Amino acid sequence: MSKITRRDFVKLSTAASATAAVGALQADEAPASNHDIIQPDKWVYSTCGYCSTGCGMFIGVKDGKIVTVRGNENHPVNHGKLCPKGIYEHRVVHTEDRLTTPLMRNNRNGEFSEATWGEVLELFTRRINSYDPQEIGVVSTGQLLTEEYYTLCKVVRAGIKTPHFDGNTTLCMASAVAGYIKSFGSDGPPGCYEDFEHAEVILFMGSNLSESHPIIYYRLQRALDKNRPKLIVVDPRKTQLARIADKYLPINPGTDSMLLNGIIHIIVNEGYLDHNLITAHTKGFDALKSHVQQFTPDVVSSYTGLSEQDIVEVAHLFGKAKTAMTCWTMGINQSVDGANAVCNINNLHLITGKIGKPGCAPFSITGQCNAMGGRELDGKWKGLPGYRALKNAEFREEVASFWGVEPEIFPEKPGLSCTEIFNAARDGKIKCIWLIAHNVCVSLPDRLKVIEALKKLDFLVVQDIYHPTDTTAYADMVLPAAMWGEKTGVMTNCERRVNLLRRAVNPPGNAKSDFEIFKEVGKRLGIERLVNFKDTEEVFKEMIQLTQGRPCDYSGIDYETIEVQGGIQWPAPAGKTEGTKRMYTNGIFNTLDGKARIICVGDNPLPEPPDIDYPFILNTGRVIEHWHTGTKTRKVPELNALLPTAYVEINPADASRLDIKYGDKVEISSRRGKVITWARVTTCIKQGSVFMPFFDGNMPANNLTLNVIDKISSEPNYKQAAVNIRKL
Amino acid sequence: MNRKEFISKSLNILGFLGIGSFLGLLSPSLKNLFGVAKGRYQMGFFVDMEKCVGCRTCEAACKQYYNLSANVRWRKVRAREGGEFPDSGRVFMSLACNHCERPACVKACPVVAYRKRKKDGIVLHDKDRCIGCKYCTWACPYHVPQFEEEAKKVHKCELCVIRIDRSQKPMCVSMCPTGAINYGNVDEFSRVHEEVLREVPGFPDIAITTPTTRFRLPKKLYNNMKKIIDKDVDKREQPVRC
Repeated sequence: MSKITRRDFVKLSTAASATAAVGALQADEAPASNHDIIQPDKWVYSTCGYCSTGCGMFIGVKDGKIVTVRGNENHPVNHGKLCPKGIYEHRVVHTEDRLTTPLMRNNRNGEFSEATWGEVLELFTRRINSYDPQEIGVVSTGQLLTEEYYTLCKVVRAGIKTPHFDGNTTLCMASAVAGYIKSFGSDGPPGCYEDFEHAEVILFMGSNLSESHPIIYYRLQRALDKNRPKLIVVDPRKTQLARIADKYLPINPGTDSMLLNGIIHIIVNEGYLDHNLITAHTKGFDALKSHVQQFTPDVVSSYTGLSEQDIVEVAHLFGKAKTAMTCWTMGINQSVDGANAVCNINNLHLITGKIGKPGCAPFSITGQCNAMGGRELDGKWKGLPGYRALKNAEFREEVASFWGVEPEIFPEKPGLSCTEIFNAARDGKIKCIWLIAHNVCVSLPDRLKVIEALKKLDFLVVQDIYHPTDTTAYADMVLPAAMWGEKTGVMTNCERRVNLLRRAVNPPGNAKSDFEIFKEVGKRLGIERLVNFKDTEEVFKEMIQLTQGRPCDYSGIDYETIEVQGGIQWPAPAGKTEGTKRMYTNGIFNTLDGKARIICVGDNPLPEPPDIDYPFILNTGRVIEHWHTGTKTRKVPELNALLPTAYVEINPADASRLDIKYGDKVEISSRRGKVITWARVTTCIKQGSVFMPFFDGNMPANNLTLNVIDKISSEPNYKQAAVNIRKL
Repeated sequence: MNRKEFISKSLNILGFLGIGSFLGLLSPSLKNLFGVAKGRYQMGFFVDMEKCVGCRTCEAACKQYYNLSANVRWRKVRAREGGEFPDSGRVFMSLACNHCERPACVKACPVVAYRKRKKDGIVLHDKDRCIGCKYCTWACPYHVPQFEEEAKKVHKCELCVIRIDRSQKPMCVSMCPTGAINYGNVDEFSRVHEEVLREVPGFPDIAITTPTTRFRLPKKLYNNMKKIIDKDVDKREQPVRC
C-alpha cells in the first residue's frame, strides 16, 4: 500500500471492521476436528458373512474387539462397496446376548445352567449313541465356513451315521440346484457378475435385487452405465428393479414356467435357435418343440395374467439378442414349481445357445453367504463332498476310500430334507435334533407345527452364537459357537468365487468355533482319525483333494492366493493360477454323455389357490435392513432405526375395500395360523396379493406359510399361500 | 492503493458478507468481471433420482463413518410413490446438508458455531462452540441440523470435508451402490450430467436459503405422487417431509 488518502482510509477501515465482525465465519479454512471417527489398531482381511454376493471387506480391530468394518477397495466383487447390513456387521459381534459358555437343563421348563465343554459333549454323544441313527436329525445352515461343512459331513456320515442331514439351504437354493443338475448334470451357476457388462438383454425373474443383493445391483448398475442392456423384469411386485426395467411383466404368482413355455414357443417358431449347440450338445429338443406348441400367447396370457403383446415382445427381445442372461432368486426357487421353472430357464438358454459365452448364462443368484460351499463340500441330504450324489455307488466308494472308511456307512438313498425332518419329529419318528446356526422357529414354513415338533423331541441341541433366540427356548442343550470375524476359513459366493475370511478376534469366553465343536463331537463318537485336524487350513488342504476332477474343482488354490486375488472362481484345478469366469464354455456338460438335457415342463398349479375364505395370495420375502430371522441384524440399533418391525403390503384398492389405512393394525390369517402386524398400503403390489417380510419373530410371516415342498427339490412353497386380512 | 484496487477489495469483502452469493447467481462471466469468485467455487451434492433405489446405504455409510447414534441422520432418504399398479412406483430423494449459499443456520446461530468455508462454500459446524440451543434446527427449512440428546449438541453433514481435503470422496458418494449421489462444483454439474435441476417436487422453496443441491428427476414420474410415510414404524404417524 503506497499512499492512502484520508477518504480511502475511512472507507477501508469501515470495510475492515465489517470483516472483523464476521471474522469467525471465514478466518479459519480448516474444519474443526470435532469428529468421532473410529481408528482401529489393525485391519483384518475378510469377506462379508451375510448374503452370497461375497463382498470383500476389512475388519477393524481395536483393543481385541471388532470395532468397525470397511469395504475392500481392491476386491473384484464389490470394489469397496457394502450394503447397510455389511456396513454395520461389526455391531453383531460383541453383543450382550452372545453365548459364552455351554448351557444345559434337565427339564424343558427349567432354567439353563452353565456347564463345561466336557460335561455337555459327554452327555451329547451319550444321547446320540442311545438312539437309532434313523431317529436323529442334523440340520445345519448356509452360513458356516466350507471347512466346517466338510468336518460336519464327516461327523454325520461316519460318526452319527444318520441319513437325515440337511440345512436351511434347502429352504432357499434347492430348486436351483435340482434344476441345474437335471439340465446340466451338475450344480454350479455357469455365469458371473461380469456377464452383466456383456449382456444385451437381462431377464430377471423373482428377484428383488436392489434389496436382497444390493451389491450385485451395484454390478448391474455398472453394466447399465456402460452398455445399457435391456432389462426385462418378471415379478408380482413393482420393485425398484421393476421400476427401471425396459419391460416389466407383473406376473400372476406361481406361473413362471408357463411364461417361459410361452417365450420358448415363440422362440422355436421364429427360429431364434442355436442349431449347432442343440444338435451337438443337447438332448430332448424335439420333444420340447412339440411340447411348447400348446403354449400359444393367448394360453400363456390366461395363465400368467400378462398381455399377449408383452409375451411376444419379450420373446422377440430375448430371441434377437446376441447375448442374454436370466437371473433369478427366491421368486422362482421357493415354490412347488421351482425346480421345473429352473429347468425351463435352462431350456431357454440351451436352445438359443446363450450359455458358456460372455454375457450369456442362466444365473441363479444364491441366498446365503456360503450356501455354495455347502453344496460343494458336504452335499447335505442328497450328496457327498465334491458334487457327488449319494445314490451313485461309485461316488460312495470314492469318498469312502479317500476317508478310509467302509462305503456301507453311507446311505444309498437320501434321508429326509429340512422340513421333512421336522414333520417326522412331530410324528415321533425323529427323537433327537442337532440344530446348527439355524433359527427354525422363525425360518421354517408353518412354524407353529415346527414348534410342536420341537416340543415333542426327546433331545434338542442348538448350536448358536446367541442365547436366547426363538429356537433356544425349546433346547435341552445350547452350544456356544464362534462367529464371523472369530474364525478363519473360506466361503463360496454365487459366482463360484472362493473367498477367504480371517480370524480378527478370539471367540468370547468359552465359545468355540463350529469347526472345534464338530472336531470334539467327532472325537467322542470314535472318529478321531477322521477329524484330527490342527486347524481349518489343514481341513482346506484335505477337502480340496476331494474336488479334484469334479466340476467344483478348486484343488489348485490356497489361502494366500485367495487373499492376493480377492477370491478365486472355480473351477481352479491344480496348475491353474487363475480362476474360471464361466462354466460350459466348450459346450461339454457334466452329464455322463456330456450333453445337456432339454426338459419339458408342464403346469404346476398353486398348492393353495385363493378362495372365498382366504382370498389373498401371500408372498413372503426380504428387506434390505434385516438378514433372515433377524437374530443378528435386529441387534443393530442403526438398522432397527431404519426398519424396526415387519409389516404387510397391500394394494390401495384392496385396502379401501377393507377400510384399511396406512399404519393400521391388521390381522392376517391362513388355514395354519394368524399374525398381527401393520399395513403399508402401497401401489407397488398387485390387487389380490399381499406381501410380508419374514425376518420378524414377533410378527412371524411363517405362521401363515404353507409347508408343501417341490417334489423334485424339496424346497418349500414359501411364496404363495392363501390368506385373509382384516383391520383390527 | 489506487481506486481500482480499493473497489476490488471492498467487493471481495462484500462478497464475504454474503453479497457474493447474490453475485454467485449471476453468470460465471459476470462473476469474473467483478472478481468475486476467482479461485472459489460452490461445492454441493448432485442427486440422481432415476438411479436411487432407496437402499439407504448412504445413510448407513455416513452414520457408521462418523460413529453417530442410531437416530441421528445427517443424510435422509425420503420416498414418494404413486400411479396405479402396474404403472406405479416408488421414487426416492436422498438429502443431506444443502450447503446453502445463504445458510439459515449460520444466521440463526447465536454463538457463531456455523461458518461457510471461503474456498468451496461448505457450511461447517463447530461442535465445541455449539451450546445446543437448537435455533438452527428450527431455522433450516430442510431440517438438516440434528440434535443429539446424549451430547446435548447439534451436528450435521459437512460434506465430508475432512475426507475431501484428503482427496477422498464423501462417504455417501463413495458407498452408494448405484452412483446416485455425486458431489463437486455445482456450476460444473451440467457438464457431467444431462439434466441438472435446482428444484424438484417436494423440495422446499429454494428462495429461502438458495440450496446448492442439484437433482435429476426419475425418467418416469407417476400420477398422484404422494409422500410415503417413513419405514420407521415408531414415527409412522408423521409423514416424512419431502
